[in-house]
Amino acid sequence: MPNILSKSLRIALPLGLGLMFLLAVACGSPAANSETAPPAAGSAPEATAPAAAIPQQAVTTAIPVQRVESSSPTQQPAEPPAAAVRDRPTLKAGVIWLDSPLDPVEGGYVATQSAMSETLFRLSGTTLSPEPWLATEATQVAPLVWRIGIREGVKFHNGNVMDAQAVKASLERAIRLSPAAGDTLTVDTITVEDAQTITITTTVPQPTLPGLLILPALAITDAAAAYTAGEGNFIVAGALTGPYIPTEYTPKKHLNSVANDDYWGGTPPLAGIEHVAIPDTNSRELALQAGDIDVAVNVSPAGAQAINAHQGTHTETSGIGTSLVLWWVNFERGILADPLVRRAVAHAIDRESIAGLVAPPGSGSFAELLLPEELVACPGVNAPGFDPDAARNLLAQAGYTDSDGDGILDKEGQPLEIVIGGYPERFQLPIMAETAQAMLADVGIKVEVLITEWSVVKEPAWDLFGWYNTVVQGGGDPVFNISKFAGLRGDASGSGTNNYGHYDASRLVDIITPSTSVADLGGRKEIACEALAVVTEETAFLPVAHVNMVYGVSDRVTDFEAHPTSHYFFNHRVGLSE
Amino acid sequence: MAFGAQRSGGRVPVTSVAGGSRSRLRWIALLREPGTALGLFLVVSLLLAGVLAPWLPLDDPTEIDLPDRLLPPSTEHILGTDHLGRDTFSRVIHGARMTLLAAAVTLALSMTIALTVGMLSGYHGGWLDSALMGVVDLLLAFPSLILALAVAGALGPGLFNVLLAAGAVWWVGHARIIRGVTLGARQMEYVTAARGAGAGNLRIILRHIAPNILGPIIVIASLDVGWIILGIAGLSFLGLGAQPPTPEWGAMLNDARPHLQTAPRLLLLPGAAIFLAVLGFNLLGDGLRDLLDPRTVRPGGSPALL
Amino acid sequence: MGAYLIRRLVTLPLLLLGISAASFALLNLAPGDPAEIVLRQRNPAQLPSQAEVSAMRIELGLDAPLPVQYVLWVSQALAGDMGRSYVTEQPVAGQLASRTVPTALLTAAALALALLVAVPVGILSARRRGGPVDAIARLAALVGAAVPSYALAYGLIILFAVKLSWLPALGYGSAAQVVLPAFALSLAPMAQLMRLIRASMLETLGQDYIRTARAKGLAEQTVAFRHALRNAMLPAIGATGVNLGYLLSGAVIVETIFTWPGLGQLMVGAALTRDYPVVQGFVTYIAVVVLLVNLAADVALRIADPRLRFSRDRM
Repeated sequence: MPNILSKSLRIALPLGLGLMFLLAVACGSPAANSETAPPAAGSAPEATAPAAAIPQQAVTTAIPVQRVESSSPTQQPAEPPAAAVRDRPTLKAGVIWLDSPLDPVEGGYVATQSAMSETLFRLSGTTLSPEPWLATEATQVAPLVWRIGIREGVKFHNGNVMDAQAVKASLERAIRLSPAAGDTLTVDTITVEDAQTITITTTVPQPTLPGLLILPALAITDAAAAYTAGEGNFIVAGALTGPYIPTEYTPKKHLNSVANDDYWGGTPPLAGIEHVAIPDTNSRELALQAGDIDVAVNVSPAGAQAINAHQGTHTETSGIGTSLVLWWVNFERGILADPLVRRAVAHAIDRESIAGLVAPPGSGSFAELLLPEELVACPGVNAPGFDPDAARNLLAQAGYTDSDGDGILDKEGQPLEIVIGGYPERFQLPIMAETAQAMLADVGIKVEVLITEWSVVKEPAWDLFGWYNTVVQGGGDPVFNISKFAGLRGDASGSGTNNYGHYDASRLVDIITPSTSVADLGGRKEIACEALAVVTEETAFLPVAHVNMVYGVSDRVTDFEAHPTSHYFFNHRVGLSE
Repeated sequence: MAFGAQRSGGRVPVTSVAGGSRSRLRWIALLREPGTALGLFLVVSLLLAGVLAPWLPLDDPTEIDLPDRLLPPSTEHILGTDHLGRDTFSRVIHGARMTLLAAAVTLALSMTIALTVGMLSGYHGGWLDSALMGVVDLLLAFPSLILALAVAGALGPGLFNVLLAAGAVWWVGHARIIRGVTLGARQMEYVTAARGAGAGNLRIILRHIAPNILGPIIVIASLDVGWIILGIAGLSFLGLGAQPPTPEWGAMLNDARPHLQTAPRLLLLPGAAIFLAVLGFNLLGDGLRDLLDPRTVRPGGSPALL
Repeated sequence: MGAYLIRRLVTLPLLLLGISAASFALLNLAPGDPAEIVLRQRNPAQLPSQAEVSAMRIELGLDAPLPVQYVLWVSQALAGDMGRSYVTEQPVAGQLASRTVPTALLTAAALALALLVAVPVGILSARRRGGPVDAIARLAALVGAAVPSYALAYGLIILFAVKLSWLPALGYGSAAQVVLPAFALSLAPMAQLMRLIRASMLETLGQDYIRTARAKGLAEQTVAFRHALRNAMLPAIGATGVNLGYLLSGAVIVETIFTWPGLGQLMVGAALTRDYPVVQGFVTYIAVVVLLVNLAADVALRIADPRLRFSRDRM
């Protein structure tokens, strides 16, 4: 080898090797450039959206709808931002998941959260009752018939006018493509009365129909445009109505939007919103303090303390808590199939104290069981309280003794050992698991903690699995909520997707079935309370707390609404001062 | 010795055979080097803490006490309490026990495999050597932490699985070194002579080869412990290693993350414990290497688990 | 040189075959029936029946004998199909591909940073052996090698992002976002490289040809740089493979902390859910990359070091 060459090589080698590695890695995969990150179809981990429960077969075979990468030429911003937009600031938000497709019928709660899509009704942030949004009013004209007024002057992002015909088409598309949504609404026919009025006829009484119309899956879309654009082009279709227009979406990474200057509620004060997925709570809190983001959704009590102490950031807490943290109980694995052991576990865990750790002050207690009192109170139905002695007695009744003196109860040579699972993205769940572990040890139950990804809930690997759930999807129908939590239906799906513990709800079905003919809210409440008593007695699951929503917010953010549900993180009023 | 070995093993095994006996004075010389003395001090403290932990007057490291959570240091809890009201000092000390135990198991497992493979390969030579070194070459392509992760992924999270995984992947580099030393020793005249005198293979291995391997093994082992500690704590930090309520430093670090700003000591203490343990073993390992293996040219060149 | 290359290139496919077999074995050693896992992920509400499991086993090709499955897996992998994730049902190859660039960027930045600091400091430290610079550098290397990256990362975030607001805390996309994770990742290999370069520099400086060069009257500066530097760099190059393995391992943790959308995050998630196809694909992929980079480093080394060009590669 010539000397000159070797000399220059010597100098270039370290750098060259670095580059070489880069190239080797970049080209190492035979499929290096053939695929971009597809969204995790149907992977919405928590029950924040009813349509998360589209039939799974459809999910597995469907081509991912949102495949939007900056490199993809087909997915240009729906509309060029107006000149005026450039003067306005862009807000950056850190959220947990960002994994559902934007099309509402595919479980698109992300679009509603991020102020891109809107439903006919919206849940009030203070009373949690449904209030008109794209609708102007709703009247129950007969037990099975609702008349709904449609807001005038609403345009889809593509410029088309949203009239009664469009709303009908949108709802029909949702019912067709999301059987879960269809099952919930039980729609018989939808009729257009005039340009701003439709009537919905249902097959069973729906006394709380406006409450069901808040479901993100029923967000109003321009059905024809969505259909014409075809799969994978939902952004291009411009089929939504919200104050922000999606421009770019890479699921699990980021979602960008620009302001909709034609918005019916007024011109949004922001140029757009950039959402980033930051699954780790701690990381979201740090990103907010570092100024990477302006809003951090769902912060922990410790994080809230740091955020409030940090200059330029503070927290905003919703007045009530509708998100329920609970444990699913696994009936499949045997140990907790024994009702005595289930009740013993319920008595052995001091859920009131755990609630104090995981929920900010003012959040609802586990004693309210399924629903915050604002929604339903069932006098006489109480959660099993903390009572270790009762737990020990129940375990003795169940035949467990500590025959080998190791502090762990056993029966027929089998130690009483259970697995408490959870996923780390919700900071509450690991804490719940670890405290319960210590509390159960006191009554002689050995616990293994399994903090893993949420999808493990689908495997027979746990006895209790921590879950963070949004309650109010039924928009106030107590029967709906009970059925959902009893595992009788997934989120508004009727498919039972949430019955991860394989709870046999036959007793409950008998109680709930008559509700199809009960139209008045009082009667439905009674049915719900009866069902709740059964669920509590059978310890079908263990509620821990109703968690108020806590948002970390930069002081520059103006008009932020700390909504108690996970449905609406942003609206058309939120702004950012310089 | 070709250079190829360097990239693979991460250090050049010294094929020269160390003399059989060494002066005791040299061991004392070990302590004259301040770094080595500090290393020895740290390691001995760690050993004492780890071995004696259950008999020390400490709080139960797994006992939670929710009303007393996140207490600052006080006379009752000299390092305060953690997010579940457990005594932090007790958890750090018991963590030493877990850490030592984990390192010892990993080391024992990996050394057993490495010795078997390395000595067989070096002593037997021929096709067996080629075959075994082929396997070693193969496994060297897998970064150890990633292979450990994969094994943990296959077997499920848990400290035992992680130890199994670490032990199963950690031996590869060592096997090469031991092979090299064995190879060198085998070619020494006295081995040839012993064989000529009709000594059996086992006898030759035990009498003539094993003593030569001892030095390098001590050096490798002491230099390795640091990496093993870092690696296992890292896996626990990711949630794949020690599971609650086990007081393990990596897991403690992970638990402390939400309190990074409000109670930073919860993060600093296990972090400092890991740091001191690793530093101690590294310093001691350096000292031992200088003592036992002065011609090794590669300082601290252990292939990192982490 | 040519013969060496040919020998390496001939053994390469054998090693690749071995790697794929090892990864495949790993998947098949794992407990649990993949068919059942897939069915449960698709429909958690219903326990899969025996008939469904059998049908799924056929659909996934699990009914074939293991060697047949292996051959099929290898042939599909060669065609760029590494199967689908049990959890997301997305193609594994696509996930690996989309996460490769972030990881490559991060590790390359960390490697560059490590070399940029380690090379000059190592040389300086060797030349001023025993002096204060040397003492400080050696101390720093000791400390750097012992600091756990996961604790360091949080210290960096608090100091540079939260307190000083100089850099973003986390995320991926801009140049500023690379700085903290790259530094956290590079500290330990930096310490190691520094010690390596210092030691080999010291060794070289004591060798005959350097003494000869000195005797010839060249300035010491030139001697050090012309002769010693070159030889001091060799172990650094030789250690590239090891460092790569190190960096990729470290990236697993650093990516998780900094929410860096790379291979490490993917792997941790897959390991936690026991998403075997992803674990298997990832391990194979990394092994192949490490193998190829090692080969490249070896070849580069031989080009740079004439002494090795004719030596027989014994190991």
